[in-house]
Amino acid sequence: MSAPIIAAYDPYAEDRAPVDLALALAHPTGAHVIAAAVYPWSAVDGAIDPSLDAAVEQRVEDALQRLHEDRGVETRTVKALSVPAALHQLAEELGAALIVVGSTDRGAVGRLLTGSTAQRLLHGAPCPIALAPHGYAEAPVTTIAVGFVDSPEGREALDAGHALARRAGAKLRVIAVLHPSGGLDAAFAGAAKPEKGSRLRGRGRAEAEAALERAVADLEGDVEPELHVDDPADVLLRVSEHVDLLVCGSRGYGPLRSVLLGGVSRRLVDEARCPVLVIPRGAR
Amino acid sequence: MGTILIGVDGSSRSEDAIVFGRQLADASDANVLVANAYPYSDFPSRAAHSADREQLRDGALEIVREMRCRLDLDERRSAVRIVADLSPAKALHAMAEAEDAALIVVGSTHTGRVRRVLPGSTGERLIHGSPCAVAVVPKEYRKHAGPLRRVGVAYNGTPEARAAAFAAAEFARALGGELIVIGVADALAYSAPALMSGADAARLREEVDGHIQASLDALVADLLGGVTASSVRLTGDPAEAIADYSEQLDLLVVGSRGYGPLRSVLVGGVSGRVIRSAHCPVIVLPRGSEAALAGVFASSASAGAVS
Repeated sequence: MSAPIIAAYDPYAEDRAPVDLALALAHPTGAHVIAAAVYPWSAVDGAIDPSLDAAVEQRVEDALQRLHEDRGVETRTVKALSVPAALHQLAEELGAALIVVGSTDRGAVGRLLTGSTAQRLLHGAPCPIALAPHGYAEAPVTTIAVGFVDSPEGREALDAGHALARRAGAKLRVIAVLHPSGGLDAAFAGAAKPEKGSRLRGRGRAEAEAALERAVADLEGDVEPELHVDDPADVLLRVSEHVDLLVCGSRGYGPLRSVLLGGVSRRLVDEARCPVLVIPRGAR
Repeated sequence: MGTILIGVDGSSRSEDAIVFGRQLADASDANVLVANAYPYSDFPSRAAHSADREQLRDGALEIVREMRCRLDLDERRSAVRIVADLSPAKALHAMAEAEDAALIVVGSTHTGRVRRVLPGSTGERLIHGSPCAVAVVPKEYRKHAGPLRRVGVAYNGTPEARAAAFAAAEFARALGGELIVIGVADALAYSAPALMSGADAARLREEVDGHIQASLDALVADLLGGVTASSVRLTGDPAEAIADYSEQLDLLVVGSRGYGPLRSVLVGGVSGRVIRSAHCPVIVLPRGSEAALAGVFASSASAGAVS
């Protein structure tokens, strides 16, 4: 059996978005979905009367029973004080392919806003993390976008997005973005600022185009490379309104085999209009 | 001999980091590297505008030399480093690995409150994944820095917190100060108060308090001699309680969270909030490296207290 997908399920809020996204991603891959509810218990070395926990336990069990009846997924409870720590450990134990987390209910419907659990999983998780927008409902994945950077991490994201698109029979948009000023804004702030991209666009653009072409050359299926000249996060956020899933890589430094947010992915996970999948660095 | 890496950008917040770095250097025999990353990338432009690169490089050199002057440490113990990188966090990370640094020191962001700690975008990325300990210094620390006497360490009984306590004891010893082990009793975290009667809640609180006090006492007893150690038990939300208490401290040491990649700094729910609100400099230690700061303080500790 292939590696399972873990959906983080809050048994108090009963937000089904992460479970629905897990099912949407499991559909093309045939992966098994496990909805995991983590709830606190009296962890102080048994020093506390266990009967205090019974009422909480009952409430959690009822919520999971309702979820199982509605969606038919396997459910599991984990008693731990830290939700992200428990999900991290569960993913390692099960060799999970993916952890799906929801957004906080403080954010707008249809838009991502990571809560504290997602924030901590997005730094150091051992497997890819998918974020479900608040109010997400299961829908077929027909268009996937990948934020492409010509780096090992960028190519890992492209490989992951491509593999998923092939299985789902989805269209893959490979989006490379060239910053108009080539990242030199900060250096010239205050001083005479060059016109946006005045010297960089010609040569920089040709090189970025060549890198993108090389990256998609061997990819099969419906693959559409695009090069934009703009702020990378702005471009990807606009794209997120028109696709079913946005895939991005981790930043290029920090511990291997871990998810780690960089400057662009940090904005995506707080503002995107579609589910976002973040691939760990140095994924095997 | 250890290395302390101070990331600077020429702002007054960098001076805060320099002042704190100097204090640590005075209490140890560590070398200090003053580092700056200038925003230039060889991709995608290649050598298309080398004049810009020269200009940026000269600016960066001027910044690190100026900051090294402010550090005012023995010339044999300090050096400057500059590197072309669009991401200062990435540059500091790589430099810390290459130089085998024991600690990276950065200032707070300009948007933070005066005399409070708040990492900026570079500090934020360092506290998620740095290969060595990270110190974030309060805004305007340079104006209010006093001797580092009261060293606090947050303790919750986990192996990470225990390692942090032993590292903090080394700090206190080297600084000639005292160690305060801080435990927080947060009865709310252990059960659902809405479902419990008043009597049950009171009993729960008593049991949690007793348990935490016992673990604090045991830790203080375990810390070897040569350092004055005491404990304090706070109540309430752990992150808020520790951040509030930090007003009475000169330095606060916290461990990384207990999951995720080893030998990396990764803040958790409590340490992450503490480092975004504390009143004194905060040092986060990497996970799973026992002698995290041995490189900085080991030799001075064995030679006795140095102030």
